[in-house]
Amino acid sequence: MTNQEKYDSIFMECFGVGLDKLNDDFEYQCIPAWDSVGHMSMIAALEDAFGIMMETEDIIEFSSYPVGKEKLGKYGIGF
Amino acid sequence: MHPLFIYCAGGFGHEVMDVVRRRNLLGPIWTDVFFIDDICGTSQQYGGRVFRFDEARVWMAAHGGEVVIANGEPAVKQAIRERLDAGSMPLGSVIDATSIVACSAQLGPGTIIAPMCVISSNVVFERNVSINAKTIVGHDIQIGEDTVVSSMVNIGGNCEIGKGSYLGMGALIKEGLKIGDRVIIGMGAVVYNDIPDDVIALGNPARPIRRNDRHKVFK
Repeated sequence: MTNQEKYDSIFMECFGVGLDKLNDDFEYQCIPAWDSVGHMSMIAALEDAFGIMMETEDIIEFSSYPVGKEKLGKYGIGF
Repeated sequence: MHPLFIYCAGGFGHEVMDVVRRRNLLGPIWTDVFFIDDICGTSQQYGGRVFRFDEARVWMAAHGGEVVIANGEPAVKQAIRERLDAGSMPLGSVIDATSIVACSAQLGPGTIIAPMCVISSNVVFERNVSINAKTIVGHDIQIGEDTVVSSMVNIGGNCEIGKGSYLGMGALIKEGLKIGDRVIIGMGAVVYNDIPDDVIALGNPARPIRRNDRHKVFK
């Protein structure tokens, strides 16, 4: 599985959305499932999938689907 | 003895009314107990008369009394407190008879303590702090104004909890920590490290997850 596929599958599983919804407009609180609890679950899943531990600032600033990819880039995760 | 107003006639207001009624049965403290609520559309709630704010202010100017703020949102508690300050309406405190409060604890005006809590030695609450049922506040803890601690929270000794924060149901806070202002600690969180101002922290171990931009606990 590529990093992109891993990333997408986590979003789809955590937030119950299809691949077609994952675009630049997909952001925190755009759907009920992406609330603070959903955010925590998504972060935990990403950390587990990519074997990283994200810093607090990055977790807090992880505001959208595209921003998340930038944040993961800091940890050497390329897309 | 003096009158008491419970500001907000919602669910928490009903809980506080229950505490007040039980406490008054043991030996009356309050002559009359009313609600203040500008939103509920009725003049009676849970067996108590409901005043609008301006009516209550006029009534209190004539008859005296004090107010407790029965709302679970710290930002709302703050706003109401400021409104009461502006109207020269003093805060009172309501403490359930089943709770244990150390003699050395210093509780500010506007304290609400629900049933079966333990407030330990040398605790200091600023004004307008609410503690819900079965919560343990360990020794030497300081809690800032307008903060709400939900039920079954356990706070280890020597912690410092800031202003306008919310500790969710069942949260566990390790001793000696500092939790900032306007923090939301999620239900069931286990906090092992200091938490900075203005964040939402969840999980075990608890981690800041989002900024608390909206200052709103409940959806």
